[in-house]
Amino acid sequence: MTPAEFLTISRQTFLALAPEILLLIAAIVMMTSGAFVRRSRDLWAALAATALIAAIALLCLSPAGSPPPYASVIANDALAAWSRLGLLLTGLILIALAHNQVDDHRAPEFFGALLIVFAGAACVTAANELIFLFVGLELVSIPTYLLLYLPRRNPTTQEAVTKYFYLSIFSSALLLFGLAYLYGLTGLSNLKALAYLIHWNNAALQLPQPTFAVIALVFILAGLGFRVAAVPFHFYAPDVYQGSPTVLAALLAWVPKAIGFVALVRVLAATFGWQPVAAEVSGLSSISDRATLLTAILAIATMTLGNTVALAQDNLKRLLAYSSIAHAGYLLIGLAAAFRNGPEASQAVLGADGIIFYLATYALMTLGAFGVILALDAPSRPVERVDDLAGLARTQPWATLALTLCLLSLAGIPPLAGFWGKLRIFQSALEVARGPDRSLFLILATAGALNAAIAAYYYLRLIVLMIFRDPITTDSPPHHAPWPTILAIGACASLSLLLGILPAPLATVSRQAARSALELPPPPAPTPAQIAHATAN
Amino acid sequence: MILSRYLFIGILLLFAVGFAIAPLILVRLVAPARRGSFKQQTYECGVVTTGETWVRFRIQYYLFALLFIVFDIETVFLYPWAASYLNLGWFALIEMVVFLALLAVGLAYAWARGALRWL
Repeated sequence: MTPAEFLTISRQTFLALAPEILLLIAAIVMMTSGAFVRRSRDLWAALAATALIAAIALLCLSPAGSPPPYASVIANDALAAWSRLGLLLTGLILIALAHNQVDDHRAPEFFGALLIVFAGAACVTAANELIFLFVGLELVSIPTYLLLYLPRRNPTTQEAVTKYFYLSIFSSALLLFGLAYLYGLTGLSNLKALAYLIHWNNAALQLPQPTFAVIALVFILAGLGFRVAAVPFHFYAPDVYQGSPTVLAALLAWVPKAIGFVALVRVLAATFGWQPVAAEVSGLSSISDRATLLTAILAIATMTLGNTVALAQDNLKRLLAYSSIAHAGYLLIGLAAAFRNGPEASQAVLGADGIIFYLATYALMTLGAFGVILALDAPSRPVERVDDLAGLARTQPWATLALTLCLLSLAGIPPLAGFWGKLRIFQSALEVARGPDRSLFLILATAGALNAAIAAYYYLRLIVLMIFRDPITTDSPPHHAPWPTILAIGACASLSLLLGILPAPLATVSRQAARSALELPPPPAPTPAQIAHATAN
Repeated sequence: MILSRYLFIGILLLFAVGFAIAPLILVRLVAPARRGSFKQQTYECGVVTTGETWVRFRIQYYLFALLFIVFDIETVFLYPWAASYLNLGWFALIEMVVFLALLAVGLAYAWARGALRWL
């Protein structure tokens, strides 16, 4: 490549990353000036929201062109564009929920760290390179430790943050180990080039160590499995969610899961997924088989454990934690299907498509559910246990309506967004079941459907409790949440309903995004100078 | 092939370990050893030791240690810079000003947040 080409690529990369850079600058300015300027938390929250809105505007205004996929560290494709837009919008929801959850003098650091989390999440979804992906993931984890510690400093919070800190570092090390082996497989760190090389593996170009692929697969799944809270890496989730403030439990249930699955699609599904071009390559098909089987086992274990343990929970945040574990299980079905894309172009992206659709709906319903709990929780009338919700319909009808919509969506009841998410995931499994892996994917789809039925019980139990039971205490007057909280919850609940009635636009978007993540464009033809260079070596 | 390329790292490792261990062994072999209960005591600048050695340090020391690192790194970076300053010119000066400004912002932040207040 000539220096001029390098210059063009880096200019394109910086232009495409403008929203993330803006967020990071805003965060650094806020966190530094926070030590010298004493203002109320409302101002800091407003500043953070302004920075996010400016980043969203930059994202929408930025040119759609992507730097050449085989040479750039970022892929500015449909997946990157749509998931960055989605993540930054949920960032606005989280800032609205968090605006009164932290003391004045800790607010600048809190909202600054929140901005860095979203900048990192946006980097992960656009990453086309192993190192950049890892930097993005760490840009999410490190401020998360700070966030967990800032708003409240009691022994439970300290236990939660310590647990999260050590396990998160451990999982980062596992992931890095896996990424190193993926690099060792081909000697490339560019994801598209890596996937292309693995898929065009033929007699002329043998991979030196096919066993590296298995090690890479296992360690990357383990490292990212922690982020998405998949069994057996789930055990921290209930303790951490229970010990941390509600708004951070919402953050932990959403951001790491979203970026974890996007990273799994970008790194594993695109690399080891079975693709038509590689049908005859024996080395790849065996690693693709193992990836499918491993993911399928993890999916069944995660769903079943999450849902059955959730049945016995008495604490609301623990219940939602196990529910989020179960949802990671449904998403893993999509990942298993993504390893087995059908031979026809129309089926080629079903699994990844399902994952992206599901993530979008999951954001609305889970943030909405945590948001209602946060809004109801007041010092005079704490809402921690399931029984605290009893008889809510009489005192707080609007909150009941919002929570009911979110819970029904989580349960996957038809006219709501969660139904379409589950449907698309199960559909992708059934579509793959028409191929050679018939029995495995039939088992997966059946396990998913059974689990959805189990899950409906504990979601519906909450709804019944709110509407039909008598309240335990009636002495304290109902407490009213401030307008940003109400706005955020209202947006989550109404969008859950709206996307349930009109799922078509989201379906188009998720299909487009999945295709862009998995497709491998033909690489540029080598220039005469490069050929001369290669033959000279 | 690869081994021989990295052999010098192994040799360096052996030398480094040997350099640390050799004086200890030499002392054992050469120096006269007369043990006594007085000699076993903890050395504390020549005065008689009082109290236990297992004392708790104040947690605040760690903040000062962290801030010390700010100046430590500054010195480490300033030395080579100063040594070759004449060859580097304006670019190096601007780079160093940026670096010092970053450190100063960090120090000012810690100061404003009360890290230097001894409780």
